[in-house]
Amino acid sequence: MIRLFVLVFALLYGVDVMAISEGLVAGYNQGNAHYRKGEYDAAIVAYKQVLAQGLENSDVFYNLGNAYYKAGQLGRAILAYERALKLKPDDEDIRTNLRFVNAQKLDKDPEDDANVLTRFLRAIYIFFSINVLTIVLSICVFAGCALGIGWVFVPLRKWLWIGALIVVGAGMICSGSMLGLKIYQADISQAIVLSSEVVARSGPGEDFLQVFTLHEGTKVVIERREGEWFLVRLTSGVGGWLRAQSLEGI
Amino acid sequence: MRWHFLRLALLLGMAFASVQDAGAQVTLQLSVDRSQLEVDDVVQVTVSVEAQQLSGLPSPEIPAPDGLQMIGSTSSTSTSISIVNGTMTSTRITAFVFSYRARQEGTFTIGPARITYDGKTYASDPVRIQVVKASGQAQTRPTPAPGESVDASEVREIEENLFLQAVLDKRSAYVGEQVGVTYKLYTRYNLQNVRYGNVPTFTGFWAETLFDAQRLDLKREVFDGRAYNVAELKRMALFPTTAGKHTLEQLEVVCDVPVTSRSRGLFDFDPFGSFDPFRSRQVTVRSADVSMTVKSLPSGAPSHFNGAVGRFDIRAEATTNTVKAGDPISVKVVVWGTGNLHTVVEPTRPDAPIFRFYDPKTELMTQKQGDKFGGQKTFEYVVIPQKAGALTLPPFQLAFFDPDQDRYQTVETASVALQVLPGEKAPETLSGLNQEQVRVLGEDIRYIKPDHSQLTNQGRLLYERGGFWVLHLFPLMGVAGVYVYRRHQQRLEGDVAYARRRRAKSDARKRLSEANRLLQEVDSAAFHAEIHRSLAQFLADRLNRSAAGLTSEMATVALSERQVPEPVIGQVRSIFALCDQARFAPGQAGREQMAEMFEKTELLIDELGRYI
Repeated sequence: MIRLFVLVFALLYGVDVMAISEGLVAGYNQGNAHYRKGEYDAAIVAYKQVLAQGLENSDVFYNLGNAYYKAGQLGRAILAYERALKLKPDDEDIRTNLRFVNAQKLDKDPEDDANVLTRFLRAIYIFFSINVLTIVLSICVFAGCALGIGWVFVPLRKWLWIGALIVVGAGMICSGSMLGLKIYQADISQAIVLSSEVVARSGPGEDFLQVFTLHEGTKVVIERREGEWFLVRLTSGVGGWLRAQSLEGI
Repeated sequence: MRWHFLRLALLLGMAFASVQDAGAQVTLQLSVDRSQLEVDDVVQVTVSVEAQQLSGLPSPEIPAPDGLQMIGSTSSTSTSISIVNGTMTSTRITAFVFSYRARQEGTFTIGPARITYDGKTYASDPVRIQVVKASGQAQTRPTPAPGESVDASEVREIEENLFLQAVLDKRSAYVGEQVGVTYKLYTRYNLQNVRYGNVPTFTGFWAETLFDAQRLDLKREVFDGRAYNVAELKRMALFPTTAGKHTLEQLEVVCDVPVTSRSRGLFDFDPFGSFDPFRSRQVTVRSADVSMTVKSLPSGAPSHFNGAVGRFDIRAEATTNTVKAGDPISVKVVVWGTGNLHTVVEPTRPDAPIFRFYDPKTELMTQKQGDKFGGQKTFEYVVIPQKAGALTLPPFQLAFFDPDQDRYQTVETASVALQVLPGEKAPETLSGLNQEQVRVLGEDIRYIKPDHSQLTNQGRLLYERGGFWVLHLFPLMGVAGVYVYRRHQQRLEGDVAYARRRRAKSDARKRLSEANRLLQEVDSAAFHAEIHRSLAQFLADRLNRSAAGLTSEMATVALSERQVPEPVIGQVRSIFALCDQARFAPGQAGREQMAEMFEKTELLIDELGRYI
């Protein structure tokens, strides 16, 4: 009975034990082999084949980003790093390389003028991925239920139980709200400019006024789509329309 | 030698020039008390007018030469009577004395002096004097009061009785060597109002004042066979800064000398002269120039020689001898001795990489007593041992040139033993090598992630799976179940009616099984009694009444109130009636009847359970 329960729990709780086909792992390792020899274009092809089969893995995206950078494709490297970071926001390698490559693009990022507290909160926020937050929330639910049952059967002082419930409840609220925020943010579609230079216009068409120019590697938020055109907004808040083929969503 | 000639000239040298006018019998003579003098010296020009009749004689005119400043004039008259060949001639001589101070160098012509008398102009010959640069000779020069002249004899007298001497303790020294100079005032007068005039600046020397008199402290001393009152005015320690011949400038002292008036001539009687205790004359006294030869330091200086000249010693002391590695201690290195400590720089630090030295704080305490300038200079270092253990701070060294022994010397401190405990923070260097920041040669992206034997699909998010959330129903259901159970327990404890109600069915079952046993024994009366009791008790429990007084009628009413259907109530009544019949109207009921009765009762209790 217990063994069955554990099995069901494991399946539902979903450490992804579903086997990734051996071919994908081999493809990834093949890409690494090319990279080590300096055959960056071949490495790119190998990594892309792995990703094309629906596997989303931060290591593959990270290595692909490295290969793109070495092959001189700055915008695609940034795109790959951003995708890797989305899957594993606390990975120091990804963050470092993204920062390094971002420093080489033409458009300057806005200054980060956050104070210490904001940075601390942001670091915590970044540290927990969606899955981790989900698990934390789940643990809180289980713990809360265990406390509720324990309260009935275990004769302890009332305030001990109340204290424990408050702790668990706070954990539930924090993880739940962070999870909600993360899921909301994940829905915001961001994109990276891949063309070396692209002109944004005031409307979806070549006849509209030119409003600003963007260069390869700049990150934008996509707000709307109209035909072949995207309305994008820069981190500074300025908006403009770009041709869809000059961008790729993260 | 030159000076002796000058003195001779001063004493003997009189230039005469005379003009004889036979008709008027007026003779003008112009004379100077010396023909060669120095800048700031005073020359007295005497114009003697000799005539037989000299009443109403005007003052002679002398063209005032540039470079000479008249500071006073006076006149006196004398009469001489001579008898030549029986003829008595009376001659009156009037001497006009003009005092001039030489202001600049050069050759000047004084005169000719002219006098206009009785419609005629008489003139003397001019006299030439030479003014040379101040010799550096010791000088005592009285300054005549206005309208007064000072004659040479008075000057000589004052010179003999008042002079200033500069005494060097050595005439030859090395650069940086200490040379003492003492200024002494010799006097036989009762001086008043003594003050400095010109104070030397000691160009070419580092000068330290050892003594500076605030008042005259006179002592008796015999000089040149005469007893003087001597006061020490100044004592200086001089340190030559460059090699070569150096001359010390003169020290000038101005003071007032009381004078006793003397009669100026036989017929020039001054009834109030002779004793005037308040009369005094201002005198300027200058020391002679003194010169010395300064030699460069000899070769062969040690490599760590930094220019210290004198005689020094050195010692080192640490504030504490026990310290943690990485913590600072204070080490004082004290240099003391005689010499110019101002120019003594930091001693050579020991070459010990396990100690880190910070630049020292320097403190100088000079000592000016006695003839020598000296004192002590403290260099306070902050030293940080970089390693734990019993360490020795090696000696600090100071090299200096000792002019007395004419050679270079090196002194060093004793070693300082230190007990260094392990520090809390790891010492920065263990090897004693100087560390430096790792230099970044180039920047690149971080390397790729390694090969894997398995890859997970991170894109599949946990919260998107239905099964994951279904899992959480289990604990929630568990909690709900536990609370339902809890509530039930609480009602059993507190609510009698509830408890009776919940127990009714199981109690009825127990009685029915007892009845079933009696059925097997075919004990009709007991069987029916038990059937009756089980049904009555069940109804009483469910209706929360007493079973004892529950009659068939009461049960019918109560069940009707609870909306129990009529057929069921009829069955209850029928069973009660049958039981009563069997109990009170004896006559054995058959086994089959009893079995039928048992089944009916069992079904009835089940059915009743649904309604009440």
